[in-house]
Amino acid sequence: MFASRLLCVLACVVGIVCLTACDKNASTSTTTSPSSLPADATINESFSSALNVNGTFFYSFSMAQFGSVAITLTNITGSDLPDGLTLNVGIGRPTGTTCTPSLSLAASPGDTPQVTGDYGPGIFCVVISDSGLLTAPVKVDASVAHS
Amino acid sequence: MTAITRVRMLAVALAGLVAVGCGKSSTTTSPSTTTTGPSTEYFTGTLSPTTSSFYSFTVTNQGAVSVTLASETTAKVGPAVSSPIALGLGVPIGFGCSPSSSADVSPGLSAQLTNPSSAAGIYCVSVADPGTLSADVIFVVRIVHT
Repeated sequence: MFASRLLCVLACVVGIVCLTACDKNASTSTTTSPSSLPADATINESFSSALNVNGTFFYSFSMAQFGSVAITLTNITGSDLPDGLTLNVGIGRPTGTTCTPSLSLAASPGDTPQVTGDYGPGIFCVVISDSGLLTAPVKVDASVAHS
Repeated sequence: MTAITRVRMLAVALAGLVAVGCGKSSTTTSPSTTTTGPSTEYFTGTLSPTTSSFYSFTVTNQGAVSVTLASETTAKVGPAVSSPIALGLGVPIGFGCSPSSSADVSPGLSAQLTNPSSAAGIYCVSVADPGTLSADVIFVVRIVHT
């Protein structure tokens, strides 16, 4: 009887010691540092370029810190523009003689940014290309807002 | 063997288990460092009179960057020419490459532009006609970076 009680007490003590000791490690593993919030876009760059049938062009910009990016395809001008004309608009990194997009989508011109995201710091590029709908060269106006 | 002896033996065994179980989290390994050698990229193309072109590359670790105009010819298989070409090293900005260093160079075996300590990031090499080209030339630029 005495031995059973002693065994029970001993097991409890050992269990508590184990939980306390191991809990220190558990608490350190759950410690997380707060993630940084993206900086507001305070710089706006507007650019224009000619775009040929099946053509593409890109525009590079530099971000000093992690922040929001908003790309707006503002206008397309030219003759014989097809109805519902869209162009591929993307954001990526300059690579070789091109811009390799990490995100790209078909966009119609407008005042609302068509491509948005959080990027940086570093050098990035906006790439705009014919989505297969152009029948003649056009002039493209666009802008990129970034931090 | 008495009951107390058995309890003592059990206590020792449990203590051992505690030490082993908690010891797993205390075993730490220092992170290994991986060093990589320099990378070589080739920027090739055709340069017409009054035009320019550029090529972007990524430096992954801080280190030296060297740029060499290695070849300049009038055709893929044709005579070498020595007309100077404006060679630049900088960063891509807007529609072009904004060089932080540049020189008018002829083809050679050793680097014409170097930066001994470039931070990690994206850089570009530009080639341009400095006003001396009278016809198209095919060029090869060798870029070595970390």
